[in-house]
Amino acid sequence: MYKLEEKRNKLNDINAIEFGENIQEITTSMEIIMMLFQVDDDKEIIAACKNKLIQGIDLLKKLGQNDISNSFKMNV
Amino acid sequence: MLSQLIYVSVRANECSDSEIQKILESSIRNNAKIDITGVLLYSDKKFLQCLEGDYDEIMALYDKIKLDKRHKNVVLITVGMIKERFFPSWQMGSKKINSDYEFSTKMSLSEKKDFNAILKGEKPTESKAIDLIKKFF
Ligand SMILES: Cc1cc2nc3c(=O)[nH]c(=O)nc-3n(C[C@H](O)[C@H](O)[C@H](O)COP(=O)(O)O)c2cc1C
Repeated sequence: MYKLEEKRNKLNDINAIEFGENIQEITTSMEIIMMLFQVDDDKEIIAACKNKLIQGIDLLKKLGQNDISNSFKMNV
Repeated sequence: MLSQLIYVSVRANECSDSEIQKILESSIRNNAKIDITGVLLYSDKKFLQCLEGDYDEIMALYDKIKLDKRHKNVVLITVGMIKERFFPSWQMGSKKINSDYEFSTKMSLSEKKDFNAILKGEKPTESKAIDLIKKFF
C-alpha cells in the first residue's frame, strides 16, 4: 500500500511540473526530473519522467529559436 | 512507523535567503511538536529536504510544504521505512550548498563531522537516498 502511495505521489508530482518560460527555471526543473529518473526503476515513473523531459527539451528549443529570431531582428 | 521522505524542488526567484531563515524558524518550531527531524539543503536554484518521523506526519507535512509559493515543481524522490533516524537531533538542519556555510542548528560536533563526511562522499551508507544528497548539488 505504501509503495502504491509512493508511486502515485511521484507520478502526480512529475505530471504537475510546470516549466514556465524562464530558461534557467526550465533547466533546473529538468535537473530535478533527471534525479528521479536516475533513482527510480518503475516503468511508469520512468516513462512519465521521459515525457516531461521531452517537453522541457521542446520548450528549450522553442525558446532558443525565439532568441535566434529576435537577434536577427535586432541586426537588421 | 518511522519513515524518511526526500523531495527536491525549484527555489522560487522571490525566495530570498531571509525567507529561508523564516522557513527554518517555522520548521524548527513546528517539527519539534510532531517529532519530525531532518535537513534542508538549498542552493540558489534548488531545495532538497529530508524529513524523518511518523509516516502519516511526514506525508501530511509534505502535502503542506508542496503548497508553499517559495518553491515550485516539488518532486518526491523517495519515501520509505527506516530503522533509525539519520538526523536525530535536528528539528531542521540546513546547509547552503556551493558556498562556505555554517550549520544553523544545534547539532553535536560528531554529527557535523558525519554530515560533512556524507556530503563529501566519505561515509559509506546503505541508504540510496542519503547517497543522493551528496551527489545532488
Ligand atoms: C523548501 C521548504 C521547506 C519547508 N519545510 C518545512 C518543514 O520542515 N516544516 C514546516 O513546518 N514547514 C516547512 N516549510 C514551510 C511551510 O510551507 C509553511 O510555510 C509553514 O509550515 C507555516 O508555518 P506556520 O503555520 O507556523 O506559520 C517549508 C517550506 C519550504 C518552501
